[in-house]
Amino acid sequence: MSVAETSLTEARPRPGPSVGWGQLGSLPLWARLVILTAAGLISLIGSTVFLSSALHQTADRTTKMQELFNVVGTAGEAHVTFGELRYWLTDLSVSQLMLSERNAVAARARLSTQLDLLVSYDAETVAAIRAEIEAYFSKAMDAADAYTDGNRVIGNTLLGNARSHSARVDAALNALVQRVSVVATNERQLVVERADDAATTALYIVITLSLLGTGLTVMVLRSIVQPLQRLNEAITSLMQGQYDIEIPAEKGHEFGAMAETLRRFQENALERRRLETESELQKRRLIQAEKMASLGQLTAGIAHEIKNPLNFVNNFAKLSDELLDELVEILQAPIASLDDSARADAEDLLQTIHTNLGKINEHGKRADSIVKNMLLHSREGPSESRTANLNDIAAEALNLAYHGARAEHPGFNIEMVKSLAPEVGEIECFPHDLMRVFLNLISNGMYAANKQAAQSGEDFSPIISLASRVDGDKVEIEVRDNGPGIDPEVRDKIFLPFFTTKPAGEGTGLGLSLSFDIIVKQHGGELTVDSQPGEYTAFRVILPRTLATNGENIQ
Amino acid sequence: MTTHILMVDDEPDAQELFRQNFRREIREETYAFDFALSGEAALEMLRGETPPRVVMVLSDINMPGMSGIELLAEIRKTWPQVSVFMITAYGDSSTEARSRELGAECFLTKPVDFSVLKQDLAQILEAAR
Repeated sequence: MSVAETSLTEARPRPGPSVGWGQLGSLPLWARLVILTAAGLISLIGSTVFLSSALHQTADRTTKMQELFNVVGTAGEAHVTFGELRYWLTDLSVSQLMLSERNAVAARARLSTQLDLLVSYDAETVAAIRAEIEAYFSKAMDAADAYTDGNRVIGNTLLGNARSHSARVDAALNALVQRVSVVATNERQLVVERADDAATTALYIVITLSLLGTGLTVMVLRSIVQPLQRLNEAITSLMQGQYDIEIPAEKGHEFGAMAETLRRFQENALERRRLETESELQKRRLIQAEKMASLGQLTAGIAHEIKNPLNFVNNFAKLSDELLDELVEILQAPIASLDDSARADAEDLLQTIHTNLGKINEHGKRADSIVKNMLLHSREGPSESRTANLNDIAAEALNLAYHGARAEHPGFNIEMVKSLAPEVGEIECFPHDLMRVFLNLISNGMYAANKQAAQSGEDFSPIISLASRVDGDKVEIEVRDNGPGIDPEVRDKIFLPFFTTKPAGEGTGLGLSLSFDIIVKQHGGELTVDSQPGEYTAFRVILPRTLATNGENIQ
Repeated sequence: MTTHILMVDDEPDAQELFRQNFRREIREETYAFDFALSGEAALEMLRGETPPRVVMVLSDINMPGMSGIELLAEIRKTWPQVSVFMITAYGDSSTEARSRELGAECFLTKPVDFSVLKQDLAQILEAAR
């Protein structure tokens, strides 16, 4: 039984040709139970056959032994009968009675019958004894006849002759009894030993078979219970929602099928969980988009409300300044006629009013630019989509941003690196809106790099780089600066409206928010940021080559 | 000869703004301004005289009640000889296109650049003469 030779503790299937446990484990359950039952039956039948054959042998030996003891008995009886014969023959010689002669003849006949029974055991010895008996009998009869005739001397001689025969018969019969006794005793000894041996062998067989049977039962049970336990653990884990466990690789029909079912269940559960997560994410994105949209509407509403009064502030400030100029002209002569102190006072007052009006105008314009940016969020009317070369738009934005910055800050300079892949080519887009996005991203980058330059001194050279590439069916443009980077804490907020890190007056906090709307909502693209504080910031614009139908307009 | 201009805006301060900006022209009687706080009031004033002495209307677009666009359409229908300038805070292209389609002479965005407005007025009047 090769199964018995292998270990059940081998939990994992071994690679390569495996025997024993592997084979047992891969058998169907019914086959394992049939093997177990068959092994039990075979053991039972085998041991029964052995015991009955041992019993048969013992029975045969016992019969033979019995026969030998019969022979011993018969030989003994023959010896006794011969004693009677001798008695009656001696008596005959002395008494010469007819009765003694009849008794002697009868004894001889019985002895002959008894010797007949011994012929089958040892014919030769029996024949010799018979001859000696005949010789003895005839000599003794002759001696009796001699005594009857009164011839005592002849009688004595014949009787002496007869006695020598008698002694030989006696010895032969004695020897026969002795011999057969020894054989019979040996035979009896042998029968007892054989019976003992058979009993011991039977005991060993029973012990061995019990051990083997127990081992086989344990193996078969473990081959069933262990996979069941592993599967049960897997099922329990799955039921508790731990879907990322490893399903045990069970072999065999039933457990293999169960493991396969579990694997399918696991796959389904994982797929369902993935879909749930995805839809949750989508929902969150939708909510975020809703928030952004309502923020945009709010922004537009506020901007509209502020714009009108702001226009008045700006217009009246400018107007008042003009009026002040006229007033100064009119008052030139009267002021000149004042004494020095009063004239200085008057001139100082007029100058201060002029300066104040300038400040009102300046801050009003600042507010106006904020409002204008806010209104870009809610620009009405459709902008047009068409195919345009993305590299050209980006390059032009770089150019415009550079000259814009130069115009604003005469000392401004920056190294510009362009690495535009020509295969990006033309894409379907809203070119004016994209231009706004790139202007915004590049201006931010230039601002950041320049800020770093102002802090680090002359060793630092500000760099702004523009790179494009094709990524499958999408195109990507990266705007990177070597400025101070973006703090991780604020990275989540940079796309929110009104969020800015620039000092008051330098940024509206709407540029990135607007850019996000244009790229994500209008173009169905992605706008992501990657930054290493102190090293760089890189904004990545990813756009599809063609717009989804009904490309959403920014309202 | 004085050119009569009707200024329509729901903001009362707009009147002051125009008066002050055109103070020289008003003093020299080049222009004379009438003011209305709504489209309905403007139509009322125009109907008050036959034919109206007003030859030019400057109108805001977003007003409570009748909008500037509606006023423009009404004026074009009843008094085709009157020029109309639209002035709005929202300089979007669709509103401008709509205004020009309805026959507005000029389309200006707030804050009004008065030097540009004065040039445009002069040009229109020159052409009308």
